[in-house]
Amino acid sequence: MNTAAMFFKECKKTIKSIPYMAYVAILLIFILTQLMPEFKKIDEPQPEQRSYGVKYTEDPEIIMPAAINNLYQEFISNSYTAYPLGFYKNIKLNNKKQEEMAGILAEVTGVSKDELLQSAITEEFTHVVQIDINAAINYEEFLYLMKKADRIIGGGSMYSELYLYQFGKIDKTYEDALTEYIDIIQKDRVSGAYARLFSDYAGIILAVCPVFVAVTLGLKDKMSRMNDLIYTRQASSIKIVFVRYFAMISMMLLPVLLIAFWLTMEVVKFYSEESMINMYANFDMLAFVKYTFGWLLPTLMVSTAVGVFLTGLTGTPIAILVQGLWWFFGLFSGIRIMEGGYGWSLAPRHNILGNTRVYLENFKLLMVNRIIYAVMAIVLVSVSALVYEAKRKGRFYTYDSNRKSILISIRKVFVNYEKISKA
Amino acid sequence: MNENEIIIQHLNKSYGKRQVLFDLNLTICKGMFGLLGRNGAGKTTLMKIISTLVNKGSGNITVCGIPIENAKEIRRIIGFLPQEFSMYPGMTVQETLDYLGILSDMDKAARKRQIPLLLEKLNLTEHRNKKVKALSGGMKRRLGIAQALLHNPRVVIVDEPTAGLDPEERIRFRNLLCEIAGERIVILSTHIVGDVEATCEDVAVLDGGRILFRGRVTDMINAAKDKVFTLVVRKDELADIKRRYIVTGMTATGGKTTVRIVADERPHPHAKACEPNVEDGYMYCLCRNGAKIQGHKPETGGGQ
Repeated sequence: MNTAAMFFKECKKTIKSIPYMAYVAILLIFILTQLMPEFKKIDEPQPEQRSYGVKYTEDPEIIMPAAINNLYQEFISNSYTAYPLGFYKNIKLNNKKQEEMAGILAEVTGVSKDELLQSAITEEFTHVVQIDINAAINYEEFLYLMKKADRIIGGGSMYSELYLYQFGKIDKTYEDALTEYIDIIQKDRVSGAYARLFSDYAGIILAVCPVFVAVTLGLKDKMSRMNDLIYTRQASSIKIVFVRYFAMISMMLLPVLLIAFWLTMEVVKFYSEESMINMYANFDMLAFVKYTFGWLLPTLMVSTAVGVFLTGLTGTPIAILVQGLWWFFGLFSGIRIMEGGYGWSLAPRHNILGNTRVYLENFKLLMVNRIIYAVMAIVLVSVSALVYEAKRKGRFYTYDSNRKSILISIRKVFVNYEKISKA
Repeated sequence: MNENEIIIQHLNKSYGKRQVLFDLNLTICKGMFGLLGRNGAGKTTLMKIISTLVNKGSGNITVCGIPIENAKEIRRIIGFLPQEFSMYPGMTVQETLDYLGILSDMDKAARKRQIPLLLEKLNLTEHRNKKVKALSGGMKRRLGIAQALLHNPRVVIVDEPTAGLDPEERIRFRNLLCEIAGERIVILSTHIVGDVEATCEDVAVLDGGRILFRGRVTDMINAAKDKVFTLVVRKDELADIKRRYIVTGMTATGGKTTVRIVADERPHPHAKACEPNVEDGYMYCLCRNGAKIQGHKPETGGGQ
């Protein structure tokens, strides 16, 4: 009973904090501006349609020529596109590096290095040569050479492992599109496909914003000079830390759930005039809720737990930096699997409406990923409770007459400070 | 083991290489107990150790029969008002007490019963809906004592409670402490001698991490009997007098000043013996134990 009262008090504290309000606003704005334009009715593909969209193949026969052609175009104009750390950058190589690049192209195409260099230095590209893949080159060698080309450009280029798959882009056929549509209707029960896209966008926010809420509330006792009053209360450290954690999680999940309900209604509206009688019988009204708990909750749990743990340990907002970096590099490295695949991303990407087969093929991996992150969050919060108890008993307590020494003593980052006492 | 006492035996405490408490032995009984000492004497450290906020180094402490290592049980019977504290500024007085009551594992009925009583007792009823940030220093202190009493603890520890209060608030607060003492142990840690004089029968003087005196306030005063003198001096003699003797008071009248001196022997043929007060007793206690007094550089005599 008391735990419930404490939980509601902590919920109130969370809701009243400015970072929480900012979190709700950011989540809402992000969903409205980024997700909603992609939320549209999925129509059944018809034969003879002009386009059925694109898909990516891993077929070397497709990837190799497309990549080489692109590399040659960039080589002759000496203008390479790269995304180091995820940001666009145009690269111009010096003569030495251009020569090295010519060497790679020569190896892949069989065209002589001189001829390639000649075509690159000629203005208006009058000496452009016809290039084809050298039949003697196999896919492994090709990948090795692309890696080399990427290194010359400085990393993050289209020939890096991260982006090379994009050269496997091909048009979908009618059969592809129809299979996908049937998967969405039968396996996703329509709303599942939308819920995945929602999870993709909401996950981006949930992987970083909750840390601000956790840090602010974690520092609140210290900033309000209330630590001693709370430390001397009877409630156990496990209870205090976990109740606070679950209150934050619940309050941060609340707007996600509300948005999920609203989006369910939006999807229902798309199909309200649908002649398919079975559509509603087949429609999964709880898909968004299931995805919220199964897909998004572990992300929220981890980003909050990182905030709770590092703030509890250091008494500083360093968790924002740590989680911010994790989020940034996770987002960047997840580009390769943006349309499904998931791997070990904290915020698994599925930036496409549909692609059900990829989801189903990777379902087990996704489940393991989510369970591991949820467990990791609970472990982090448990350790936070131990740290809290230790601090409460003065285990990290030191007497510091000169706060400037924090700059020279890393150990002291992890202790409670006591200014020169007046007694 | 006495369940109505705090027993401290051979307590030592260091922060890194700096030892701040030296082999303390102290027994604190029911009622108001004053812990008197200068800034940096180790009072706050001792209070925090008893409140389980700081680890003891070595030695034994039992609070009402409970070893200090049993922090959970100690927290159940202790109420603590720290020297420097505040509360969530956006919470109201009532919300704050309710929140801290929950953290003290009080059920709803107990909170509902206890909070209005405390608000009434501490003259905070009309301010119960005021936010903490809107409270005056005195009101905040009263709220501080309210939170310390919330779960009806057997031991109440108040660290420098009157610092920063105006004289009226200070008197009111001291009276309040006496009221709440009753069947409890109340430890008042302070460097203000007047606070101890007005509230405590028992006192300990702590200096440099050591207990210099433990006994009744009257005993501390009596120890300075025949050691306190008044002397009328010219203003130009003042600096020399202050350097040579422990001066506990000065009254300027015209071109002369009447100084109150603590010394083992009559400091001057014209000096008159007078009755000691608590401040004299405290200063004499410090000097007798070789404590360094600011501005005082004894040559001979001078209260040593």
